Amino acid sequence: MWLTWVLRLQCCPLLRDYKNWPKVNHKKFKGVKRTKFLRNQRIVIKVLLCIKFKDIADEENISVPGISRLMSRALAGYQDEDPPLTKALIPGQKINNGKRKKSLSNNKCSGARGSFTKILEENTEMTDRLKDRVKAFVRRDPNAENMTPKSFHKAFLAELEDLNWPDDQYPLDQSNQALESCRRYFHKLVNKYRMPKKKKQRSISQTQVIDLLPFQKLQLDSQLTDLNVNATIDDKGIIETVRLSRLALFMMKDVASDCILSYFLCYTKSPNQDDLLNLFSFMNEKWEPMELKTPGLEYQLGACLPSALDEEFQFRSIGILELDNAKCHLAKMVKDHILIKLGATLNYGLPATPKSRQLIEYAFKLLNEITHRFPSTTGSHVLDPLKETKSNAKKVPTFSLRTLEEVISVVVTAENTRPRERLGGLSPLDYLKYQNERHPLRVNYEMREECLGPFVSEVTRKVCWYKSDNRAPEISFNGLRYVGEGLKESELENQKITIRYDRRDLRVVEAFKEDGTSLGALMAPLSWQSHPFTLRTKKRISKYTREENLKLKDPLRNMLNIHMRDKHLPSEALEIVRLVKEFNSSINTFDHLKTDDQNNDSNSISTHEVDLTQTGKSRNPLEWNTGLFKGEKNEQ
Amino acid sequence: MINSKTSKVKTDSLDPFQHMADAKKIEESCNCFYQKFIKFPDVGIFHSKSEFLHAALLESDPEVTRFVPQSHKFLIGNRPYIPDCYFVKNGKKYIVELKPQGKFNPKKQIPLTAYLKRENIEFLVISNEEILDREMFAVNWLEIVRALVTNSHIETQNQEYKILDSLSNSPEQQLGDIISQHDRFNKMAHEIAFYRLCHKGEVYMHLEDKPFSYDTEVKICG
Repeated sequence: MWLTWVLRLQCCPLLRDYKNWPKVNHKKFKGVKRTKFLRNQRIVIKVLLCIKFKDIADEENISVPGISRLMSRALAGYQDEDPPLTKALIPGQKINNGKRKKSLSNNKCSGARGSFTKILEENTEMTDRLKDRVKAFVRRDPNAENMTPKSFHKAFLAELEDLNWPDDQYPLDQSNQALESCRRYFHKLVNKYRMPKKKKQRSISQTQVIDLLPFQKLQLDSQLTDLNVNATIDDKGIIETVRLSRLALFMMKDVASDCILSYFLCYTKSPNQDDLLNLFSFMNEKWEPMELKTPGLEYQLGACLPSALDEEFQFRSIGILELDNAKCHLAKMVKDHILIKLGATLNYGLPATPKSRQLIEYAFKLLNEITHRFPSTTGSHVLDPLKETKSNAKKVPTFSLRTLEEVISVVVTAENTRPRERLGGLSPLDYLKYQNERHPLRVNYEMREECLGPFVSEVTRKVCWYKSDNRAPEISFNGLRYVGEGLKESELENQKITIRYDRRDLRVVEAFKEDGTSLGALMAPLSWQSHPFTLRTKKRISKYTREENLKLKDPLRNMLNIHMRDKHLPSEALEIVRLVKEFNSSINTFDHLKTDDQNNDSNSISTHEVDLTQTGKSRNPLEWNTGLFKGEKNEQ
Repeated sequence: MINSKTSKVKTDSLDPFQHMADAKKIEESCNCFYQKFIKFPDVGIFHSKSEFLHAALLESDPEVTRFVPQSHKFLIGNRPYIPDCYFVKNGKKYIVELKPQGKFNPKKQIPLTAYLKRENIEFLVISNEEILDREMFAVNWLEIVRALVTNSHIETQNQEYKILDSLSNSPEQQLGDIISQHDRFNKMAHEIAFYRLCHKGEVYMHLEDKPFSYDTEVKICG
């Protein structure tokens, strides 16, 4: 229903007071426009105060119908539409948005304003057909026409012809036949259909926020450190500092207390399940501060990881572990350890939603803020202005691996001592202690008693005895023949036995009969006894020898030498560091099972370790050697 | 009438077991939870938080003897359908579907309800909101379940008798009276025994509105 301005005031009595009208900042208008706006405002106020039109007309030098027109402009309109009000007092302001009340012009008897829109609104079927044509063009449908404003205009006129449009009526009475209106409407439609569709949002149930206790929800993630570092390698007496690839860092954080529980720096760019299990393994070991060698770097007072607080914190049970669906997180071994040994809940979350684990992402951000301060940083992305310059990237970075390890240790532990507002001003470590006094936080008693770590697994193998080759009974495991005194029982031939092995050191495995009786230690071949080697290294060596069709006499040392040839490549240098760390590790899960003879055998090959800090050949005080050995070329 | 409805529903077997193959497809695209429970001894895969909390609530109910997530595979018309959970309570079998606002497609619900009724199984649709309202209770129970799952090797029969004796003598006790705050390693059997009694429904602990602490009220049931 159309309301005149008088009816509008009767329907909405609030509008009788000009104070209830929306405000317009008239100071932004200049010259005549401002003067006219203020005059219109005065007229409306006077009309609303019920002053006679004639008096107003005399005072404001305007005709009486002019006052009426102004009031209609401001207040008249359809009942269900809002009146323009103050907006209508602005001189020259469009208020109808091109809506035409008059009938279309015949032989140019009236203006053409709003005529095009009126035609589109009154002929909806025609409009829909035109829209469909444009939509098909934008979506590049196979049968669509490649449209231009001109072709759209032609289509519009063709539609009118189909409707038997009178020749003397708009737009046919115009010289350009609404070409400009068609052009603008065409571009409007094209822009509309090109706009990306709003993504369908997943419906997430609103849940009440509940109080969580420490260790009830943890977040875990890995990231490549944003820093290039060096390592010093001693190759047959030639000491050289090389650039390493970036290293991956695992970190685990508690949601309730914001405390970093454990971290693990992997000597590889692409971590696997063993690196992740190392993270859990370190959580159950008492944290010890590193011996800091970097000048000016020191731990904050009381800074540590929770495992250093007391024994209970070393064996805390965890609740829900939130992580993403990275390949190493999905490994069966990881799942078994978390679900069965730790009894925890695994939650992989929705794919591609890292913000749901924002606490751990934020922890990495804090660490990156530190690493971005060094010139050898990679920055956050390829276009980051902080990124190491091209000329520097050709040189070896001055920042050493040892310093990186120390910086991470200091930053991570300092983060645990920073007071948080959401924890009532307590630091994460203090909050953990506070909650531990009030709540019986769960302890994994089985883990404390369990002497075998997460790396120990069991498999079944068949005992083979090739008598014709004059060989002792053996089992085949990971492509190696394992022999031992326990197998020298004739009734074991072709029988299945269980072997227990540690993924970090495959030199020795423990064998059991099906009834659980121990058969003692089984040893890998002598050529594999020189150093501890992991399952990952064994698989890499096997893959390499298979692809290159090689037979290595001393596979471990030969593999190291193969990497040494390309030590100037950062990825190869990092692999050398990893291998050296692995070969120098002192894991002895099954060493107690070895006989004296076996011990002598394994010690007969030296590790060729050299300590650079003792030789005084280090280039600067920050430098640290990778662990170090003399490489021997062309040994295979 | 019933026949015309139930004839739409088919299944290979009504023996409940977790449909892992189908579950794995979904685990890559939804917010999955994995957890080992006591009344479902394998690792359960739950496709939403509500399903996961529902399983915890089933564990908390001593009348429920067994549950299986993603338990059956039905064919309704030509569309496959796997309900969220199957459980046995007081000897009666139930199959549950969890839905936001409890709204479930009647084209599936009506024939399935009729089909399962014939097999003496009740079909329930529970709203996610109903489960999420009891989140605190479920989270507290998950802590108990995890403690029992990881420490299943600890023998606690004697300690259970001692706790029941102690609670019958002084009925109003707090958790701090039972779990030793300063000597937990030596009194671990006592702690596990208490959780086992809670799980059996012989001891009541107030877990509805806040995380359990040493001050939580504890009393004997019945």
